[in-house]
Amino acid sequence: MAESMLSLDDVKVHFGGVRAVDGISIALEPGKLYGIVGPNGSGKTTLINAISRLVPLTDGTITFDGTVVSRMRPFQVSREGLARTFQAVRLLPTLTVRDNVRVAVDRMRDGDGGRRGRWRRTPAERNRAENATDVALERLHLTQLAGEYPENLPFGTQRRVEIARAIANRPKLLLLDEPIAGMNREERTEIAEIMKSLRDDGLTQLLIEHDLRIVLSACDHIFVMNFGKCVADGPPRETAARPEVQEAYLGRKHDGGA
Amino acid sequence: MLSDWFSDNETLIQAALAGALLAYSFQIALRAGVFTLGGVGFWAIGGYTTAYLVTEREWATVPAIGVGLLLSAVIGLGLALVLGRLRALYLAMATVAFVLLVQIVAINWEDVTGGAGGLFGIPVTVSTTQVFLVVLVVSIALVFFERGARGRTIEAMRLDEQLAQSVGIDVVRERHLIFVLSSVLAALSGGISAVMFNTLAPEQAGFHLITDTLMMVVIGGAAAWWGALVGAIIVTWLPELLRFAEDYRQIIEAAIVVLVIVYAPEGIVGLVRRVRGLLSGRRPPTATPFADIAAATSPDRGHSQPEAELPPAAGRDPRPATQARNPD
Ligand SMILES: Nc1ncnc2c1ncn2[C@@H]1O[C@H](COP(=O)(O)OP(=O)(O)O)[C@@H](O)[C@H]1O
Ligand SMILES: [Mg+2]
Repeated sequence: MAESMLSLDDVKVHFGGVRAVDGISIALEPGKLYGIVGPNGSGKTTLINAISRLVPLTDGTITFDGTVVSRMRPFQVSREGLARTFQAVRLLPTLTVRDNVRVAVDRMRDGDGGRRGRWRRTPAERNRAENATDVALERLHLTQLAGEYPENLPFGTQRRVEIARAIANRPKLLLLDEPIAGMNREERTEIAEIMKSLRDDGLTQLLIEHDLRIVLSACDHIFVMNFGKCVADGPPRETAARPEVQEAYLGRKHDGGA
Repeated sequence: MLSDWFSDNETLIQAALAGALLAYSFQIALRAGVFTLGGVGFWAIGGYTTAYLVTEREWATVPAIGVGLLLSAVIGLGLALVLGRLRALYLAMATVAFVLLVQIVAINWEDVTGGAGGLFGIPVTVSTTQVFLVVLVVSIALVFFERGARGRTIEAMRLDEQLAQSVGIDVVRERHLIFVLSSVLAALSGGISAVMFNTLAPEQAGFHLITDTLMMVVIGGAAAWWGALVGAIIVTWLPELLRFAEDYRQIIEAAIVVLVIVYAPEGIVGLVRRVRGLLSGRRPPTATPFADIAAATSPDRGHSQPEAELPPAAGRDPRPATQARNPD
């Protein structure tokens, strides 16, 4: 088997008595588009927060591209090449669209170990950052809106800015937390196309999404979560069709949460 | 004619220049979301260090001020390490405690500070022009500081610390840096004040200097460096301009602050930008550090910010509302 891009070994995140993530072991192969589905409160966001190190692990190990990152701080995993978006749009209102994307590549440096914060950048490095910003904006069809401020943009466009920011630094792994929630049909399809084309470029992605139609059409492999556990995984269609998944996903039996 | 005005108002000009440096110290921290009021303590440390070295040790002015800056940088870093986990109001209160502590030391360490009565007859070794040049150089440095990558980093740190981390910003390190810079600027203001006004007393370095300096930043606005400068000039001249009001002066001053906070929360910088926006038809949002800070009064690392609900939108599956406390 190919070396994993990301592997979780018995990862647990408990908040007091709430077992938000309760023993997840999964592995992601490079270059694939993975989906996570599951009812509200099943721990999907918390899992992504754990991977991006925004919440402390209660237990378990996370290995990202050969490096154990379970104890790292968020900016460190980010510099290792992990990027994410947030379930609620989080843009910086005082910066233009362009600067909102640019902020993610400000630390981009030549050479590899070099994703470190420093005072000065060489002109070549600055150029590279400018280019990376342009490419990301272009990819999300935002070039025309680069000078706008987020609050003047429709919600769906704000989401696109978030995705542009996340891919700008050419991450190895992209975590997307419901990136198309609140978008209309057309926008959803557009974003799904962008995710597929990023996958075709070799970017590994882990997507949380409620819209099964999108998940089934875009993902290579899905994980189904319920009560903090991974209750099923496999190819999207077969997995989604399994009776226990139908039950978990629709949440009929255990309404009321963990 | 201009030189007449200049010599008639020299003390006010000097006070405004020293005030601007201290306002810069406050502003730089607030803009980065570091709600420290410790600057006044470093103002005192810079002031007493300079006064002591110049008066008692007969040092030249520049190295004396330099030692004050260095000392403040070291103590500032120490303070940043100790108070590193505190945010917002908790940090503000802890740094006020630091200011009061420095004041108590100043009152009691008589050999160096002259005690409660303070120091008199400090030799005046800087000219107004020299101080003006210092302020000019610092202002230019700040222009560069708020532009480009560093400017974006500062905005991200203030507006959304978690987001800042997730795009690779080492927030802890950046906050330490801001602490040190803010301390050094304040010490510069204090050191210059000592050798510009020839007296220095503990009562100067107390709560009223905190409120005066905050007033400068609020009235001037914190979204651009020049807000602190304009604020320093206004706050320094206000008592002069309001002299006619006699006993009511302080009430009028307070009323002005309230009016600014209510009707121009982004200060003069915000007003200017709003006018410019109206003229150009595009309105850039401006920064209001105080509002941001009030919104994020979490004492520990901001991990448990309340989450905004997803905006309602057409075509979204009807689902039960998510709990409002996950940090996503
Ligand atoms: N910071 C937190 N503190 C306490 N409980 C939390 C926190 N974050 C999430 N939870 C709880 O963990 C559970 C899983 O939440 P979440 O990961 O947001 O689910 P999902 O994204 O699948 O809807 C929920 O019960 C939620 O209330
Ligand atoms: Mg979620």
